[in-house]
Amino acid sequence: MDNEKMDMLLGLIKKRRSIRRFKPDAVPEGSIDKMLEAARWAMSGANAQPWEFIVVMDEATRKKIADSWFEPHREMFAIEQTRTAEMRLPPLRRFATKTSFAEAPLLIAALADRRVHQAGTLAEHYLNGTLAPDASFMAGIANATQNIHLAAAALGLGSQWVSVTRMWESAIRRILEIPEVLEVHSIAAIGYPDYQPPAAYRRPLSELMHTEKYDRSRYRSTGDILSYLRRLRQATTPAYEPRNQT
Amino acid sequence: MQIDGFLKLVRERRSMRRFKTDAVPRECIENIVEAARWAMSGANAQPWEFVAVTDAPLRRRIIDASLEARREVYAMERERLPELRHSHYHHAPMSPNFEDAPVLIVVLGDRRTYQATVLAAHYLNGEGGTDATYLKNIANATQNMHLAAAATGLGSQWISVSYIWGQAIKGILNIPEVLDVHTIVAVGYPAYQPPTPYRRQLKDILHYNAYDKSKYRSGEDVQQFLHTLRQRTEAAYKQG
Repeated sequence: MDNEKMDMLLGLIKKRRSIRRFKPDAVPEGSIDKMLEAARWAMSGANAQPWEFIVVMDEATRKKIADSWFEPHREMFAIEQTRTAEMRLPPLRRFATKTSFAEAPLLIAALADRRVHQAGTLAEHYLNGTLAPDASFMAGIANATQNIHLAAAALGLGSQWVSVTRMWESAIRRILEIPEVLEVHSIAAIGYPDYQPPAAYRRPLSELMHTEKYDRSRYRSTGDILSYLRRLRQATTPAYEPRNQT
Repeated sequence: MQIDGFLKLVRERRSMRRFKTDAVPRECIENIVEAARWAMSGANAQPWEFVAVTDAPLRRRIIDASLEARREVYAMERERLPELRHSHYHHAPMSPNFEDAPVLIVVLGDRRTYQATVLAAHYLNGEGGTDATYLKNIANATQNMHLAAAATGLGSQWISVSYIWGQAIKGILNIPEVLDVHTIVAVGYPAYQPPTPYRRQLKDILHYNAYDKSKYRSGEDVQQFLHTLRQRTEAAYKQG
């Protein structure tokens, strides 16, 4: 068993943090190709490789993308206020005055081509029951996207996975002249972190991993889940503050 | 791990379709699941749980339960042109190509944790669809396991679980109804060296500052890609 490589990989996975404020300094020469190389070699069902990427460094374009974020934010903010205060996602407790990716010198838009999902079996579309028919398509996009974030961390950069909602997708499509058939799923904001994030919170392995069969004593009722979500909010709220914390 | 080490790992990882039967040490299995534990998830929801199955009779039952679903998939796949059928389904289902793997890690998802994210996600969906974030989070954890297996010198295979098979697995492993069975990660020592996989070129998938229309694939281009993909990927499905 090769322990050294495993320890290094685990070190990288744990070191990666989501960054919400960046320095404006450009990323080093050659970084973009390396991050996209990691994306290119990601796993996808039937090797369909449903991904394409638009790399945006141009300041005016980045500003247009950031400006277009506010209208969808307004909608999301309004719906979030219908929840109890403690359950609201921390960035949506106040109406934002700037985006969490405003200064990032590099934005990588992840596009998805659903047509190549024909590479999978036909049966996926008819036999997936409660799971989406496009679970493996979504997985492929996620795999490539997460590899970008891990590669950024491996380069000593910070990154943030910014989801793109339908409303925002239309604006980005116009700004970046993206053909209709391609979907815009997310934006990876990348740059040097402007602060040191706090330690990440993760559920312990002993809660997650069952041996041989599911251990029913660990079953979480809805009440348990709601308690977990409250704990999660407490544990994760500091991570949404883009400043050094003691 | 620095970028060169990470890139090397990502490029060298192979999907394994035949394994040695030698047991995998428990410490290895835990390291692999540890990699999943630290994956990214929207709002840090961490919707995942895992059942690591090493017991041979249980693995046998799980594999046998896949047969009914595989028959359905095969029947549907025959409705396609032969050259476009998924490589696993050119012939009637026999033994799946993970039955010698000494460890099957079943990946479960708890959709209820999705409440961690913004409520608007359900009404103004993003990332390509409803459930997209949930499905992608499960993928993040799953791919980390494959990378971790590769880092340890083990082989692995990503096995999607259809609804029919998933319901059977729930019964076999006593999994509560509310959880989804997403995939199985088969892990074991490699029994052969798979060929280098086919990947599209970087220049084909990379645009600068705006979408480059010269790289756009028409419907016909996509069909051509699918034909090429089948030819180029055929070798990877052969078990050495």
